[in-house]
Amino acid sequence: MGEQQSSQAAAAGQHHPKYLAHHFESMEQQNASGKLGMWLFLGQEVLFFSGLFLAYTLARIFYPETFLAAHELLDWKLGALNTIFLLTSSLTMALAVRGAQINSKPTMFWNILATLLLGGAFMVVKYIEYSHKFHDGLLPGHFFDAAKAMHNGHPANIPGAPAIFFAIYFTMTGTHGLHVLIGMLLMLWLLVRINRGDFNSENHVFLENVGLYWHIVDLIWIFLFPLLYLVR
Amino acid sequence: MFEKLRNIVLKSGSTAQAGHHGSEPHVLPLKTYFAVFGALLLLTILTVVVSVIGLPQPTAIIVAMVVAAIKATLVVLWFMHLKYDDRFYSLIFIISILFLALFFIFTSLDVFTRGQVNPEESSFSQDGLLLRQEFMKK
Repeated sequence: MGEQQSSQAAAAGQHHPKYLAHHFESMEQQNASGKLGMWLFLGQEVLFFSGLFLAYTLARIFYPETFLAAHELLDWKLGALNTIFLLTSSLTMALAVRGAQINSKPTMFWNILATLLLGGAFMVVKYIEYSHKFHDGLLPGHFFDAAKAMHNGHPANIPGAPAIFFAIYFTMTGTHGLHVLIGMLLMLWLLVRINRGDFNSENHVFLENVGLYWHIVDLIWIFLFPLLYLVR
Repeated sequence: MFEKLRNIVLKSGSTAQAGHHGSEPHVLPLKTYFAVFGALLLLTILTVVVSVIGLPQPTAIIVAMVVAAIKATLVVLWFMHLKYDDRFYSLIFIISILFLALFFIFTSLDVFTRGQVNPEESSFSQDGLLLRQEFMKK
């Protein structure tokens, strides 16, 4: 069977690149299959986050006054800074994929490095925000410490259920942050593989798939930012 | 509509030869990426400005979500290449959004009509409010 295939390919004048797995007939088939799998995973990611967005929606309808008051405790300027970090990282990621398409190793390498650093900057800002909230007792569920929050100069009584607001805030941004961290690990691996010369215009579906993942992480933040930081 | 992908994934034998030269990726000009990025930044500024002005609810949330949806569309179409890729990938993504809508609609139908069957379980009646407050104390 294998011989038959290779003779077919030879008859068609196709070369058989070393990165073409034996169970695929052509690079086109191999790349399309990989990307199909990635898109199915991204569909799953949408559904995975939909539960969190639904929880947000219902909690906000139940406690509109809490969301109005509690969002004042988040710094929208830090949120906006993080939005710019992620949008820029999405650009560099798209440029890295373009670098693979035009066979440019430096374009791939430097753009992935920039994406990795911007992801790191996002996590640093997130760390500053989180440690501030931990310090002020603005925590989810029964960890929420109203006395500590008041002591640190926050409004004396946030109406409704601030503990629920912070539960939702930490779950949504925490899950998103975990995705950013996973993306950064994938990019470290990408840097190694780019350096090794694994990718070219014909074979870069792995780079492209990490790119798709990174864009969906950016896309989720595009919705999180106005929902959590810009409630008016 | 999806014949290209189906042929590639399922029965590449005959079509792989025909479509081999088509495996060269579609390279977009650099300015397209920078234009999309510029639009994303402008829309981010717009959301912040709209929020600072302080539109009345529910206008504010609708504007914020429409702007976010436009930004998401830009990312999906150009950065994620859905505009140029096989339509089957778009179909998968759209189906996931449809199921998200289904999830929201059916949960809302339950939550917001529960009180008509049993007032005590209503999320908005006085009884429901008390129940929730008691739950919070636990």
